[in-house]
Amino acid sequence: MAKEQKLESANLETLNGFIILGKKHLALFTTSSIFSIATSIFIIFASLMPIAIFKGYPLSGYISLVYSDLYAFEKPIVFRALESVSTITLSLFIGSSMPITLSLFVLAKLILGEKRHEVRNGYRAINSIYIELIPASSIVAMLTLTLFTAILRVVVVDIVPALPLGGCIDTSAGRLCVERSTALFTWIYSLAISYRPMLFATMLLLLALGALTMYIALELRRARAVY
Amino acid sequence: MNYDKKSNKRKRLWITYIVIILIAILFLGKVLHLPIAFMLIVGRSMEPRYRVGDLVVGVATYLKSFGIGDVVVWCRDFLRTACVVHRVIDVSEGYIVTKGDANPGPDSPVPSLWVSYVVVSYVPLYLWFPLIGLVIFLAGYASYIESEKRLYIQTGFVAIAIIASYIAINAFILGFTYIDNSPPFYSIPRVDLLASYLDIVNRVYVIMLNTSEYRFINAACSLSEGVSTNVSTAINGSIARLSIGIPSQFFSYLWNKSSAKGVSFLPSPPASVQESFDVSCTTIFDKAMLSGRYVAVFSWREPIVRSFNDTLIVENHNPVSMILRIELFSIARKSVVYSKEYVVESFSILAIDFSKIIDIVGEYDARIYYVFLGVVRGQGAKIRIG
Repeated sequence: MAKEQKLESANLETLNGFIILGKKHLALFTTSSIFSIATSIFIIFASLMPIAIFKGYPLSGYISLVYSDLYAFEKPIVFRALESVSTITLSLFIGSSMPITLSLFVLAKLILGEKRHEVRNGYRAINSIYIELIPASSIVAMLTLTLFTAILRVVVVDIVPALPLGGCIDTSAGRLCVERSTALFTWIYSLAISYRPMLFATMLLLLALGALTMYIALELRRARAVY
Repeated sequence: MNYDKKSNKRKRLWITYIVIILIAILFLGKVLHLPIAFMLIVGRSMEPRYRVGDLVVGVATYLKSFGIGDVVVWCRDFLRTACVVHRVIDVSEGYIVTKGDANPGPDSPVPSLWVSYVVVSYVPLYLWFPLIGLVIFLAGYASYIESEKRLYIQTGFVAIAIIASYIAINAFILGFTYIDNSPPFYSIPRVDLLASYLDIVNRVYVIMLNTSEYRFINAACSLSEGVSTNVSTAINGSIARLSIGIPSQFFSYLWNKSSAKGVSFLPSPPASVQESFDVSCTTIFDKAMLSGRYVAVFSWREPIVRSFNDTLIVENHNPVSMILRIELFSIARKSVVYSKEYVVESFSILAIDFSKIIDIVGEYDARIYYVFLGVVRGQGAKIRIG
């Protein structure tokens, strides 16, 4: 009973090499983990989703970060820059899978923590090393989102405008004007153009969560050492 | 003895560390402007020679010169982030032209100064990746053994290690690779002008187009000053032949226009003066529209006058009719015995048999007067009757 009262009153507590998290800390770490997972899933989803879909003549097909299938004048386009981007998206997948794996692992540990150590009343116990995975996940998710924004920007600003949407070309017989393909720019395209502040806000939020959770994780471990 | 064994182990560990650091430095060689650099291929432009993930070894151009056929690395920026590994196909006065082996066309010419490295060797992905992985694993394992199988985890080490690993992976993928920034290659459908000429006798301007990629729908043409015309088309396979009929009034208009303008100098008859006009055509294909402006050129020619004994022949090689005043001057009588105006139609011949007009045998001078492009001109011919 006395121990339970102590747990109620203090957030910084340890139990057999484990850190005991209070309700507020638990909420913060859980939020941070879920936010990292959500951001990473979003990056994977956005990398696979088409950025622009082209229909008609002369350009048809679609373009995404991972894979593109484009035809100009009814023949396949050879676009090495897109192939390079596709290779570079490997970083995005590695960077997204790390926060998902680490955060899910920590969340699982937090859920199982109560049963193992019989910590009650909304408190959770977790190995002090594992708690550091949460700020690491946030920072990795933030860095991956930064990279995603940069690659998306390159595709939208440098690569998409180089595609032949239509217009006129000079031939020996005169000026040949072709029809104009219809381009459907998806919300991912808008992310690079109109909604960039949202991405930056998400990055800042992840950075803040990473910094805060790291600070708390360090404080909890330091308190344990003192304790 | 035990101390020596430990010392040897430590030496081996240090050598492994140095090898790893050296490899890392060589991977960064491109960015650090080192004389030798390792680079990774991320594009497919050099297939089958180099495949995605292959490692190429470059030697700086100040150590090794390059020529046609060499594979070089050229970068647009000082930091060497946007680079291209392609083969040199042409070298000329400070510029080079490169081409990816698998690319359909060459890159745009770039200054020779942009070339940073000459590729001297390469290691396939399936060789270098396991080798480097093995070296890193051995270094880690040796460090673990060296620390007597104890791992000391400081506060914050796990987080920093994860972030550092991620940065290292990213640096590996992004920093040591190059983005192939070749322009997109695609074939543009051709519409070739095979021939265009003016068939002045038939008053038709002919345009022959080769349109293998498009299906012809129709064409509309107009002449200078917006004069509309009739267009007839004949399709033979991929070749479309447009025959643009030119109204005879249009030639009269040109004649009058040139006559009003006048001619500054005319040589001795029969003179010719070049004339031109524009033909503008809009050709509609199933997926494109061709707007072309073609120039039709022909010459105004003075009538050609000839005589055969008692017959005078006047040829009009113009697309307009000409009014001639023909006089017959009797040499014996020293006077004009015959005078009449004739109209010679376009591209026609006027033949006058004077034996049927003049009864008196003798020699005559036929004098032909006309107005050619605003200038009164005349020609003469000998006529012998009897």
